[in-house]
Amino acid sequence: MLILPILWFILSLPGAPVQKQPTALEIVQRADDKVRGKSNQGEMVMRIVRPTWKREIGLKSWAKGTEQAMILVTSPARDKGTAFLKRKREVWNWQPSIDRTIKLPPSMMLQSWMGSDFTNDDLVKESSVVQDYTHTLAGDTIIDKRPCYKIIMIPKEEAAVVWGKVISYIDKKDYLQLLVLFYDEDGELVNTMKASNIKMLGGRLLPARMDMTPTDNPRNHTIIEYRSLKFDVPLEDSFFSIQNLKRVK
Amino acid sequence: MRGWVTIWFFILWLSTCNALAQTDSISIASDTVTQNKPRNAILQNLQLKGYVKQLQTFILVRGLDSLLTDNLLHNRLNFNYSLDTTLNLVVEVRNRVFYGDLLRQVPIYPQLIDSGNDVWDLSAMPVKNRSLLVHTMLDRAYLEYTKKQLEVRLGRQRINWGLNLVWNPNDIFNAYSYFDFDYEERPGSDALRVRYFSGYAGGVEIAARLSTDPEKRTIAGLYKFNRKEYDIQLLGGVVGREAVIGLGWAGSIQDAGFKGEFTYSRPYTNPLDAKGQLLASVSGDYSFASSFYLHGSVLYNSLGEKNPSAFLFQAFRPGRLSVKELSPYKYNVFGQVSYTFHPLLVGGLSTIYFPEDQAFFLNPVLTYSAFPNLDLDAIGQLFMDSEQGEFKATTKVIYARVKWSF
Repeated sequence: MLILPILWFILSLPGAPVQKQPTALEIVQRADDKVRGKSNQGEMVMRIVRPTWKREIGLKSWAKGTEQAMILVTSPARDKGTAFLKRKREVWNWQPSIDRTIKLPPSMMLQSWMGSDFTNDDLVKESSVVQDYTHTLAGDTIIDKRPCYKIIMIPKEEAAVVWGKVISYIDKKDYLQLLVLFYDEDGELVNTMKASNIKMLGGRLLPARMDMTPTDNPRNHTIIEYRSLKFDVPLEDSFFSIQNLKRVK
Repeated sequence: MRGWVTIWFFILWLSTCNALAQTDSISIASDTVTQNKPRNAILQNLQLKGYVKQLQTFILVRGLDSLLTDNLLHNRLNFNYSLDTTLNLVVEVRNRVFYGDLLRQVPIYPQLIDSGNDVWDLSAMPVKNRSLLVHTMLDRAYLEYTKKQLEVRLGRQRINWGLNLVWNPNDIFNAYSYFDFDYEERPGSDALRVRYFSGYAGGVEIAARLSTDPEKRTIAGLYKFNRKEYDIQLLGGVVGREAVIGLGWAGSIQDAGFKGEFTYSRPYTNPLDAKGQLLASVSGDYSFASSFYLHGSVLYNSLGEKNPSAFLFQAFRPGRLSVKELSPYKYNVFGQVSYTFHPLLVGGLSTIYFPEDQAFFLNPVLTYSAFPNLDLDAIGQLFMDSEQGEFKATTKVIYARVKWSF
C-alpha cells in the first residue's frame, strides 16, 4: 500500500508533467513576443513579383514595444533615404529630396506599402495581433511537418483593422506563425501569408521568409526576406523621433 | 561664378584636410593596406545621389496659332560628406540645359531661369545663346553640426516650415509656386539655422536668412510641440520690413488628415497706416484601402484680388516666390483625387478653382515606373477662363518627363 502515497508524492512534485493547454490569447501573445522582443532591429528585402515584372525594395527597421517603429528605405536609388516614423497612432514620412517631414493621415495605414501586397500597417504593425482581436482556439493541424494551433482572430469593434477575420496557424513547439489567412468583412479570403525558411535569426528560431499572396490574383505575390534581425537591442525612446528620422542610416 | 569656384575649392580643401588628418603615415607607410585606408575612409563617408531628367514641354496659348516647345535636360548631384560623427557637408548641384522655341522667342529667358541666389552668386551660365542655354547652380551648400538634440546649419539650405501639401503660408523662407512642379527640392536660402529638438516631434528653432535684397532678409523663430496627436507650431519674426506671426498644425479628425497654416504680416515701420495681410490655408486628406486618395484645401489671402492680371505670368514664373505671393486671388479652392491603377501606374487629377472670377486650373498627372529607377510622367496644366458662362482654356501646357535616379 506504500506505492500510492509515493505515486501521489511524485505526481504533486513541481515540474511534474501536468500538461496545461495554453489559451488562444497566450499562444498569440507568445508568438508575438517572439517576433518582437522588447525591441528589435532588422534588415530585409521586399520583392514584389508580378507575371511580367518585379521590383525589389531594401529596408531597415527598428521597433520598440508595439507603439514605436521606424522604417528606412535603402534601395532602389529613387526612394533611398525615405523613412517612416510611427508613435502610437501617428505616422510621419521623411522625404529627403524635399528636406521635409510630412504627417500622414491615419487612413493611409490601410493602403498598400509601395505597391506591394502588404499594407502600411503590416509594415509598421500599428494594429496589435494581441490587443486588437479576440482569439479563439479552433483545433490544430500540421504545416510543413510542424504541429500547429489554429486560432481564429476577430477584430474588436474599436480597432483600426481592415480585416473581418484572421486565421493564424502557430507552431506548437516554437511558437512560429507559419500561415495566416486574411478575410474581408464578407468572409471572403483576401490574402494568404505563408512563412518559410526557418532558421536562427538574432538568436531565435524564426521564419526568415514571408510570402503574401492575394486570393484573386495568385500569380501576384510579395516576399519579405529578413537578411538580419537582432532582438532586445538598447533603443532609447528618443531614437523614435523626428530628429532621428532624417538621420538613421 | 566666383562664389561657385570658391565653394568647389572649399570642398576640395576639406577633403584633402580630412585625408591628411586620417593618416599621418601616408608618406612613410609601405603597406598598401595603410595607404588605401584613408582613400576608402573618404569614399565611405561620401554619399552621392542624383538624377537625370528630360522634360519636354508643349505650350498652346489661345490667340497664338503656333505650338511652342521647350526642352530641358536636367541633372542633379547630391553630395553628402561626413567629416566626423557631428559634422556633415552637404553640396547639391543643379545642372540644366535648355533649348527650344521658348528660349528662342523670349529674350529675357536667361534672367527668368537664373533665380534662387541670396548673398552669394553660386550659379554660372557657361553657354548662353538663343538656341542653347546651360545653367549650373549650387542650390544647397551648407555645413551641418549635430550634437545630441542640437543641430546647426550654416550655408545655402532649404528651411521648410510648411505643414500643408499645397499652400504653405508658414513657409516664410522658401515659399514656392505650386505650378513649378519640376523643382521638387525647391530653392535654398543663404542662412543660419539653429534647431533644438525636444520630445519626439517638438523643438525650438531660430533661422536667419541673408540676402542682398532687403525685402528678403528674414529672421524668425519657431516653436513646435505635439499634443493630443497634433503637431502644433507657432512662429514669429521679421521678413523684410514686415513683422510676421504664424500658427500651424498637422493632425487628424477620425482617420482623415487635418492640417492648417495661418500667417499674418504687417509692416512694422508704419504700423498704423499700413495694411496687414492674412494668409490662411486649411486642408484635409483621406486615403481609402483601395489607394483611392482624396485631398482638399483652401487658401484665403486677405490682400487678394478678384481678377488679377498677373496670374498667368505668375503661374509660369520659375524660381522662388515670397510667401505673400502664393496666390494673387483672395479665395482659392484646391481639390485632388489620385488612384493607383496598377502598382507601377499612378494617375491623379488636381484642380484649383478661383470662385470670384470663375477661373480654374486643371492638372492631370500620370506616373509610370518603367524600371526600378526610371519614371515616365505625363502632366497637363490647363488654365481655364469663363466667358459668358462658357469655360475656355487660355493656356494649355503638356509635359512629358523621363527621370532616371541613381
